[in-house]
Amino acid sequence: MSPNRLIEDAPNDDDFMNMDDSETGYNDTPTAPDPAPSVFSTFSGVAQKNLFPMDNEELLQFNMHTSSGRSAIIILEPSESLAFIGTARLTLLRGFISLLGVPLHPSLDPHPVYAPRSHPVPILTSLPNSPRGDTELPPRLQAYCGPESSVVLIQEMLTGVEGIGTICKSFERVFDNDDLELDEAWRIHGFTPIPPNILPPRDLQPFALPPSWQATLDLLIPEESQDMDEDTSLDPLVALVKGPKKSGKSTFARTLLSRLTTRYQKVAFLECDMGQSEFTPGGMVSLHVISRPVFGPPFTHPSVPYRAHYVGASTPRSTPAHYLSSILALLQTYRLELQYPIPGGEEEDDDRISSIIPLVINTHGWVKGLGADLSRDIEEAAEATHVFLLESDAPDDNSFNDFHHHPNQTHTSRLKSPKFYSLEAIASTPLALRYTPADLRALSIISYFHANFTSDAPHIADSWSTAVPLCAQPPWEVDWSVALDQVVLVGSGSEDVTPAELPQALACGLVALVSAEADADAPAKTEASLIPYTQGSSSPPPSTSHCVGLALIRGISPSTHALHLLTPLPPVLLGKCRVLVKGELEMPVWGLLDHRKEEKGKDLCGVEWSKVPYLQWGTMQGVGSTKKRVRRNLMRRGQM
Amino acid sequence: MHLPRRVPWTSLAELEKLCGWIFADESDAESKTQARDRLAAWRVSTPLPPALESTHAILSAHLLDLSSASTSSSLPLRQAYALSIVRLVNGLVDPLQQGAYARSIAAIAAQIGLPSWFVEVRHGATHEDLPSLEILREAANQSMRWLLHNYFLPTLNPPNPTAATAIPTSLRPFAPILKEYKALLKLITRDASLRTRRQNDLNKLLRQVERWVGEAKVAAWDGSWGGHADLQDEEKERFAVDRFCERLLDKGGLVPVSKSKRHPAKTPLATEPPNVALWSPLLDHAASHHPSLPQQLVSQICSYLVEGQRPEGEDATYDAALGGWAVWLIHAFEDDEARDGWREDTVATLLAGLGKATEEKRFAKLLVEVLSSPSPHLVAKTSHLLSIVASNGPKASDPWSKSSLSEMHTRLSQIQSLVDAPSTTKAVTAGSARAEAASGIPQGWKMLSENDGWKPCPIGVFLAT
Repeated sequence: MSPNRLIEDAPNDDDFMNMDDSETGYNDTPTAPDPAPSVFSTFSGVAQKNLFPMDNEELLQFNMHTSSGRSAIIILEPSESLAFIGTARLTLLRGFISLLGVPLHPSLDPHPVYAPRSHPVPILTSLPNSPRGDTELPPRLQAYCGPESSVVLIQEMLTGVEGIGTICKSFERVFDNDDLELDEAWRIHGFTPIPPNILPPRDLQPFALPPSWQATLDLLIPEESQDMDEDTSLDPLVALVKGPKKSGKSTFARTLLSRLTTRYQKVAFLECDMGQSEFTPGGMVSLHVISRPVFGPPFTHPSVPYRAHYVGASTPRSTPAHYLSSILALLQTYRLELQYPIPGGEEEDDDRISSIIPLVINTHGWVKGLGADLSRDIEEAAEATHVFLLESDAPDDNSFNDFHHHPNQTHTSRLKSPKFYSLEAIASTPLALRYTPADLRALSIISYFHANFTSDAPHIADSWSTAVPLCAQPPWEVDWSVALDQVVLVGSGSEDVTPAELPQALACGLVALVSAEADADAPAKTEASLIPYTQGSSSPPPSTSHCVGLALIRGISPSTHALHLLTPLPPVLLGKCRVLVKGELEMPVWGLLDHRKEEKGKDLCGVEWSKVPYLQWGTMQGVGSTKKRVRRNLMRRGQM
Repeated sequence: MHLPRRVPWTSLAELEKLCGWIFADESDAESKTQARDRLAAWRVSTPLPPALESTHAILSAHLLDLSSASTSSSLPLRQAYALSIVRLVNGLVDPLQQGAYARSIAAIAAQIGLPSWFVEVRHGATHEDLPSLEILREAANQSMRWLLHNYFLPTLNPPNPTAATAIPTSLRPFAPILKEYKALLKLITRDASLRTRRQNDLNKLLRQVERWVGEAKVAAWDGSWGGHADLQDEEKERFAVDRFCERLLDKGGLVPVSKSKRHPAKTPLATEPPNVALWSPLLDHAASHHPSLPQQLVSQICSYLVEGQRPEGEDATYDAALGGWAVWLIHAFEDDEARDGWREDTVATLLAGLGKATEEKRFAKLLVEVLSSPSPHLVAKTSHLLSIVASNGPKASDPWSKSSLSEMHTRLSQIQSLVDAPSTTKAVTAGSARAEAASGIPQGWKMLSENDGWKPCPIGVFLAT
């Protein structure tokens, strides 16, 4: 049971209708309509027959990546499958496999895979094939390899990702294997195969690609055709994924993105869904450049985006114009800087296409009212070549039907109208009931703040530091009279905050670190003790600014004009961020606590609970002190 | 897992200040403006509870009214007032729409004591002619007063739910039930042949006990209506069982009235068999209905022993008898998986509370020894700690000297040696990676460290360096 349900009654998440907010929380749950009982593993590992522990010496001998931990090679016969939870680095050495809907060919590049039990479990499936591009295998394995066998190297991958669950307790132990017996032959730390012929633990949900998705993806990115260059060389693929909440947009967009990376060296991804963003915490629209498949749920790949704009809320409801102009700015960035990359710089032994970077756009799930208008505007501006529409099963959604049949008329002005694909929406799953959208949003913020971002270039984090809670991490001390040009508040009602009360509004707040061109409107510097702020000013325009990342204001001291900030970003990125934007996004309460303590305890970092600011235990007295609760499914008598 | 709530104030004193700004002086527009601005800032900081959001809206409308006395159109003002009333009523009523079907707003308003004419104003403002300025002003006025009495004052002066004083008077006395139970059990234990015949009576009594606990659970709801409405079921259960435990430890409960019957026979801290026979049916029954009962009872016993405050007229035999019950309870109920580590936890609690060993706490100390005895592991750990407590406990007359410091070091190392080596964490230590990358630090930014005098503190605390 999600603690958000218990304690906060899923705060804010039921505030607005038909936005991604009201999703029951799950974006990752494609399932076949009628999952057979044996959907998990069929592969049964037998040591020295189809399961071979490897050591680094042997790996080096065959040019394979070595790792500090243990490794094993498995040999899968055609159609054999292996489901697993945990984390590992997978390398396909021979054959042809499919993982999370992405077909993979042999390559010495390992794929990091994150498989928490809170999300559908990945299943490695061996597909029949004619061998191509094989790597040399150790001779002791040769005897066990059939002509159609797939050979996979599995290596330990320790990233610290499981620590996120120790902070965000609704996801505690999601990488653990308590209830699964582990065969000694599998000795890979953090990786748990689900044995065949057992009843898998009830909380596990296998990943399965709906048939219509499979067919569409196969059609779009045919397996063996090499002549895709011809029809795409002039007109890069721009795929837009849309559909109502809970239909599986994010999962489809991620699968499509991953599949495209098997054909293109780089693929761009534009995230317009600010409630459940793929690569960043919510609240912003962002553009990413991805070069290999993404195997894991969103919280396992927090990123420094290629470019992003901060909107400040999980839906565009209060600032639709800023939202739209942010997306338009990102589309322009894509067209100017990414679409046709400057030749050269591509790796030599990479046979994927490098002359073009295709784009995948994931849209928001708000398909009624203003949301429909916004969707239409985005779709027109994107000039998509392919539009994927996830059909909702509920036929009563009239306005939605209006909306998606509309494009045929609105696109008359365009030279070439996009190809439309209709896809089935995913069925709802038990996982969707276990986690609310608020839980998932909290998870991705916690993951972001504990991620190790090591380079100044846009990149995806691949390790986490969770040993020290945020409250015990030394902060940055920022002298606002030197380091900042402006602090901006966005969101409804923010224009009522007077300069004198600004510290009250910023306290304990999540802010975006924004880099902006010098602005004539910026408040003139008057007194150093006042935070540079003009009441009612709006965010810097997306055309001349961008969001670099997020920070938490952990303390404010007007007398020394200092802010104490926590951010996972590397210092090189911070200098250009001279604007802070505070929106409606909040640090989850998990992030304010000390997870090293088992229970509530008497104090937080040595401060008695009664003296801890901004947090209060126990029930609130007084009528009207509970969180706002909005009911939309309330029926009238006589309505059946 | 329970979480604290995010609130916009650093302490209730800040809310109290705000309340003063609004209500202290009816005519002080300046402080009201201050309150409005503060609420506007809080709203941006974190979502406000409906009561505060309404306070903000009504206050804003009221200040608009004060400033626009001379303007020619009253419509903007009427709209501001009307919307604030509509949202007030909705904000208070909506959380109580808990069924599948809508309840009438008037019914819910009556339940929470909201004047019914507010509901009429709401209806008027949304569906009929916009109410007159006179009505709206009056409604705003009364709303504020209503919020003061139903939100601000209860929030600022929360009754302590765990204190015995919090028990509403409606909870009926438990002593008569206990008395009846004891009489019946004495009869049964003396004459086993009566057992089957009186089984019905016993069942009836146990049901009565159950009903009493149920009532106590409801009482946890009681008192102020709104306050405990979102009290978790678990908390209510805890509250009720605590009340039950208090009754058991009271006079006429588990500890026999006659001091001669309390005396532990041969082994220290044992419970006399007749006494066990008397109470085990009740305890077994209650524990099966309330799995947390044994733990709560033991923890109450421990705090009695550690605090060393006996009820009036009691002597050391009372402590001994209580200790005996703790031993018996742990022995009888610890096999349940859910109570894994209970014994260790209890020992730890006792040790923590023991602090300086004094004569009054000797039963707490004895209890530690008895509880540890079955496990050599525990004995090893506790005997060590007990010896520290016993031998090195600072005497009040000891002057502070340099040797005290070295003594503390010795003790620290002694204690550290008892703690298992910290489990190695796989994650890279935080900060180090970031600190290393600290080249190219921008102007005006400085990474703090313990050397600057910064140390871990709750988010929201500014530690000057």
